[in-house]
Amino acid sequence: MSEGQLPGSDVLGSQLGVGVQGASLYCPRENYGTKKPQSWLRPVDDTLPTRGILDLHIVSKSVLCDTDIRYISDEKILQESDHDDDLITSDVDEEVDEVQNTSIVVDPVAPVVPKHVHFFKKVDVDNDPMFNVNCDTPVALQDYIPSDLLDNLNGASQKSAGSSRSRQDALFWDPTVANRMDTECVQTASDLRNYRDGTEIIVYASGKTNSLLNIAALTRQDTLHLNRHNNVTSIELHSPIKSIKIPKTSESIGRRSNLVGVVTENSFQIFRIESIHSRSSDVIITSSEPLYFVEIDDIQIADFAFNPWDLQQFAIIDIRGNWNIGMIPKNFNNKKAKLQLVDNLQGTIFDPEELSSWKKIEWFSQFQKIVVFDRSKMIEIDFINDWQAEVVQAKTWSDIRDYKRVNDKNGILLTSREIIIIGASEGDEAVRKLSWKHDLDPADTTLKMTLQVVRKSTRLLLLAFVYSMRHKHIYIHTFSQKKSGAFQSLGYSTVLEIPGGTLAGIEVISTMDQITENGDGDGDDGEEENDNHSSEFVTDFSIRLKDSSKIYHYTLSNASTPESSEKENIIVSDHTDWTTLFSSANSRERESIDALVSQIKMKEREHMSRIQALIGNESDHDEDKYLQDLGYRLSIATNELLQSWQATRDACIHNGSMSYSKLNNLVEDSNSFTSISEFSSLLDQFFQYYEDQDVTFIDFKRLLGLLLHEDVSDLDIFYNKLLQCWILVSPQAELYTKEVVKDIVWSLVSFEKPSLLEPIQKEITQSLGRPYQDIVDSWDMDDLNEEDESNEFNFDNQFSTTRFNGRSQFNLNSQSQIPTIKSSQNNGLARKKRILKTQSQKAAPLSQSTQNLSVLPDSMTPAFTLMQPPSSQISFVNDSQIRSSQRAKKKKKRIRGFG
Amino acid sequence: MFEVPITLTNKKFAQRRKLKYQYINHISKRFDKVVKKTNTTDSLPTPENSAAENNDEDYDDDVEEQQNDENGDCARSIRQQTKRRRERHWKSVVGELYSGTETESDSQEEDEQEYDDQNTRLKETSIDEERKFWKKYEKPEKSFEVWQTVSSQNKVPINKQKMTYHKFRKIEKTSLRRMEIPLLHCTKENKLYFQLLAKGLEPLQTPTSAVRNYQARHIITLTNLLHLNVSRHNWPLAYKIFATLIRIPNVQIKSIWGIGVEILNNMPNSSSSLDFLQWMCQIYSSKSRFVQNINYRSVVPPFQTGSRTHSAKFAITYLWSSLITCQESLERTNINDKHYDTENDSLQELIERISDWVLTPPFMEDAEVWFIYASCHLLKADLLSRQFTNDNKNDDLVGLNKDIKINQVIKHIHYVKVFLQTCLEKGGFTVPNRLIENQLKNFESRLYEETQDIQEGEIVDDYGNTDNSSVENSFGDVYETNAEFLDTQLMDLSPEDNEKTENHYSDEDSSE
Repeated sequence: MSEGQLPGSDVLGSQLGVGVQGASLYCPRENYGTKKPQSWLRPVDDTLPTRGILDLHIVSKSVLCDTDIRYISDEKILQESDHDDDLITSDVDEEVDEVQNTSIVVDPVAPVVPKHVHFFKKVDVDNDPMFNVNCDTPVALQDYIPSDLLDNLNGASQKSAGSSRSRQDALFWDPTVANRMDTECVQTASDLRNYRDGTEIIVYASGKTNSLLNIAALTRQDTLHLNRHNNVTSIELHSPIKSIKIPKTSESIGRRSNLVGVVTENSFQIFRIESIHSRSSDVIITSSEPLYFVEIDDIQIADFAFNPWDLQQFAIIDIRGNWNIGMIPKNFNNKKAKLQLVDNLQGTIFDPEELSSWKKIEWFSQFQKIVVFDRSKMIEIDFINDWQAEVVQAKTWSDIRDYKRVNDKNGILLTSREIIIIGASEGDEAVRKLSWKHDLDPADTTLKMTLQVVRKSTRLLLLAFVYSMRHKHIYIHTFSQKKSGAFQSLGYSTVLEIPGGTLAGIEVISTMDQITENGDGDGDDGEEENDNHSSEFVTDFSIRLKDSSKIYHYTLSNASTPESSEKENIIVSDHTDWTTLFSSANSRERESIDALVSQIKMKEREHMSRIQALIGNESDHDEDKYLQDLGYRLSIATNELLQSWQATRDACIHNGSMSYSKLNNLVEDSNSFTSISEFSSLLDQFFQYYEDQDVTFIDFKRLLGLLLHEDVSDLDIFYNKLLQCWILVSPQAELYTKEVVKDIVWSLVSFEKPSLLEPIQKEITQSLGRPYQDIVDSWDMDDLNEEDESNEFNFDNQFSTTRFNGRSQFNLNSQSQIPTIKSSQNNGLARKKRILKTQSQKAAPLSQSTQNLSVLPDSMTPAFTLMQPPSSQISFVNDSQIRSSQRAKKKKKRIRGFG
Repeated sequence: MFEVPITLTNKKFAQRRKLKYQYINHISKRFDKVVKKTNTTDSLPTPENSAAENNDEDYDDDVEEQQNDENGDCARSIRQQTKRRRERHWKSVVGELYSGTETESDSQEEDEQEYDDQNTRLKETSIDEERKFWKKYEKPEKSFEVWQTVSSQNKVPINKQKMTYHKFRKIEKTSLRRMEIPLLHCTKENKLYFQLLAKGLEPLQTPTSAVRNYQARHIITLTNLLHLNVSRHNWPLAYKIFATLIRIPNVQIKSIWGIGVEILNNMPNSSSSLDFLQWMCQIYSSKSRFVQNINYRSVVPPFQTGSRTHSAKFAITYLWSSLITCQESLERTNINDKHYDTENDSLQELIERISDWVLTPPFMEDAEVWFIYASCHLLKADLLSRQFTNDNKNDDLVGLNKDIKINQVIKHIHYVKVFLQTCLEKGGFTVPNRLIENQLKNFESRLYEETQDIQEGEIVDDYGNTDNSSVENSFGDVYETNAEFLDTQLMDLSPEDNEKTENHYSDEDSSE
């Protein structure tokens, strides 16, 4: 094992995460006080300053291009397509014409008009590329799709490329739509001949159906811009574009690629950038013949890759996991511009258990080695030596989300739980080296990753941007690689929020090649060996948000110089929603905003003064005296109230109004005390005293129990429990809690005098007609029985002798009545039986029963009564004699059977 | 946005999972059959062939069903039990009348019963399906995935049997047909979910996005805030959020302990991250065996739990961070201080704690713990041997006192070697062996810098030798040798002893 290598598990390497320590190595110092200060070799790179390196902030943000706009070469925007009711208007593809497709514009072919077609007022048919017929390409049938088919497609794959109504809360997305935008540096043949560095280009899909491929050269002035002439080459592919890729080549071959691979819904096609005009930024492109899926077994291609060592070789994988190596012809100009798949270099990783059509293919550490992924596997394949080996099996707790190649030796794998560096071992086999647990939602299937390599003088920084279609946050984690080759993590990560825009997530982020810090504008910085300075870097990426037409270019920096932070502030504040809202408001709105703000401020002040007052209360106050006083006042008020109740008793009975009161109606200034326990005992005494005087209080401890979901024996305990939870929230939690507890007590505790209610109840009952009384009684009886027998105010005491017979009769009547109804409906043996049964009971007069039946409340379902007679009869008989709690229980049980 | 430390159970998502696994199992069974067939016949399809295939298919289906029935025997008995239970339940509901009404209500009841039964059956099979799927795979406990390094064992020839469109259709068709019945009982949404899943699309929604329950929402929000504030280094706020979060019932502290540690590390006036880790170790350390049969859906083992062969990540973190803090604190104190008690410092405590873990049953059988144990001794040896270096020269290092000190160093060096060896024997753990050996030699050279200047070169080699001898020692011997080492008299013998084996060692050295 070489020096600088970390100890760790053979297979797993170091596993890190927030707060997780990995295996380290103690490196004792030889001579004290002279050499390096750290004495541990840890998987977390502690030679970098612990703070600041990932304090990335947005230095600049600019619109790179807008996919809704058709750019053309003569320095002006031709037309901006309207979102609502205008078909894409665009010119004939001039560039394409120049290069190869000498298209003849014939009269528009009128398609068979489908039923649901919408007629637009201003359709400029001549301009629509849809109606161009190119002589040397077959007539693209897919242009004329019946509307009902479109409807089906919309229903099936709401997220797929072409669907026009993209619901925001759509359920699904198509994993084969990988990235429809890529930026990369390309080197054309003439660049190579003239020893020129490459040109940065952007390739993106646009149009309503994303079927238009756009290629444009970019210029770099501080930040990245579209070229001066807004010269974008557009090619209509007649099929929604699913993924675009510009290959990255290995450093060892010393040149960049000039290819662009595009997968559409029905074909795979490779474009070659022949030349880029340096002044007019014209991009001249040749294209291979599309490789239609129909030719290769009709399965959609999910992903493709280019051999980084051989510009002529590519690999494709379809959604079932069949992969194939192919060759690109050297020249696209003549007739042999056909992509050729090599017959014997193919295979499959098909897994019946893998439902997702997400697949990935990428070259690994050697010319003949590829790694192939589906959601649950990573397989290393050596297609020359004919072997494959499963390196990762993610069937259990995680899924593979993305993989990116870093360089010839390393790659980074993103799973639903970790970011993992995979390196090549001595035998050039894939080995897991270091992992970082990212804690992002493991169920989020849309996680993707983009890498940015920043080359510093002492080390390589590897920035991984993890993003999702579900939110606008970018999770950034950084690994550093020292000269020795060992990877270390930075030990923490950061989350960057993309300001502005819609709520939708990020569709794709694309970075340029690696950034070499010394040559990149910071020339003066390169001289310094200061550690602090060398950790500063600038990185940039282009980003396309979901459901947004604009492609933005962001520059990030971790430099903490005052000017940059100032700059950032200006820019960021320019783009926050608030300021835009405020600046766009008219005077009236401004007024109301001002009013709101002043209100908020007033409230704040009030709040502050209240807290001040509370704190004041806390300190000075004669507590005992106050509480005593409070007690007096409380009891005086209560006595008065009771007397007034007594006095107005008759009136109350007459009105049927109830006499009860809440405590907080009684006394004012009741909150100026601090000791909850004292207060609690005061309340207890108060309750005790008045309960002796025949006043019933609400059982407020039970209410407190309901609030906390556990038994509370005391107000003090309630208070403490609340405090325990809230102490974290604010330094003033104690005050707040006290206030809340007091408030709860004063507003919850209420009391009444049952003896006063009794006559009212009696009055009301008597005012009812006889049958209603019966019903009321019959319901009440059970309740009271159930609740408690010993209650003095039990109605039984009063009514037992007089009412009970009536009730029993009613019950008997109604219940013995029902079976007869049922028996009249049914027939056979059961009927006889039941009649017998009912007759064996006490005979019942039938006349009353019908009337009673109609009186039964609606809630009493007939089925309920139908099913229960026998048992209830028996129990009733018991009841009339014993009237015990047992009966209540029994009844309860029976009812529960239905519940 | 972030992983939530609770298990979200949701009827909708449970049903989705059920459907998914049911389908997956069907389709893989079907696939196995098709592949087997093509493997055995391995000839071009002829009309006869395909006809036979068709027959086969039907036949297979029957067989499958039969098998299913056999498998379902126990399931059926359970079903009958539930049926009986249901009957009893209905009886109690209907009351005594039941006996009378049996005949008339039979039909209606039967219907309901059947419906219920179907439901339960669905439930049962679905549980089986998921488990069936999980049973097939090895559940790793150290990482989320099973990782393998490519070796001659797992290299297989490239699978060239292309999955053609038609072949896949054939596999898919029957499986989809089989799914029709379970889909009947699904909600519209889940039906759509399944159909799209089968088409290869992926869900955009996650269980967290669908949560409507207030408490769960609260937890989700808190988790997001927690992660964001940790990433922004807003420690006081993060601390508050963390404290609030772990007080909510059902929140699994095991899944967010790392964040807690990070926060406590960064809080200005708290030294409690070690205490927290220690507490985690005391409460959640488990030395039971890892059971493969459990699905562990709610608590995912890596980073969260430990077992006999895999010490939990928090335990490892605890050991490493206490070792590192030890080293840092020792660095500050002066080792040459006369009052410095080398036997009772924090490092010694840590050593004892680890020895508790690894030497008393149930033994911790994790190589990494042994490596930490060795590292402790490495640190100790370094500290002690520093007393002999020139710049720290101490005047009382003469005579017996010096011998004792030397012996101490030797003892610890010996321990390092022994424990490293144990670590290697446990396997699965790579250690920079050469590097550590060099360091050990370095320590020893410090001891004899002055007295044995002439022999220095030899001695360096000598103690390389101690390594070899200790390797041969079994574990029980270590203590004996240690006891010997403590005896100063024997000390002088050891170089001579070692000289005998020196040649052997150098041979090995050169071969490497």
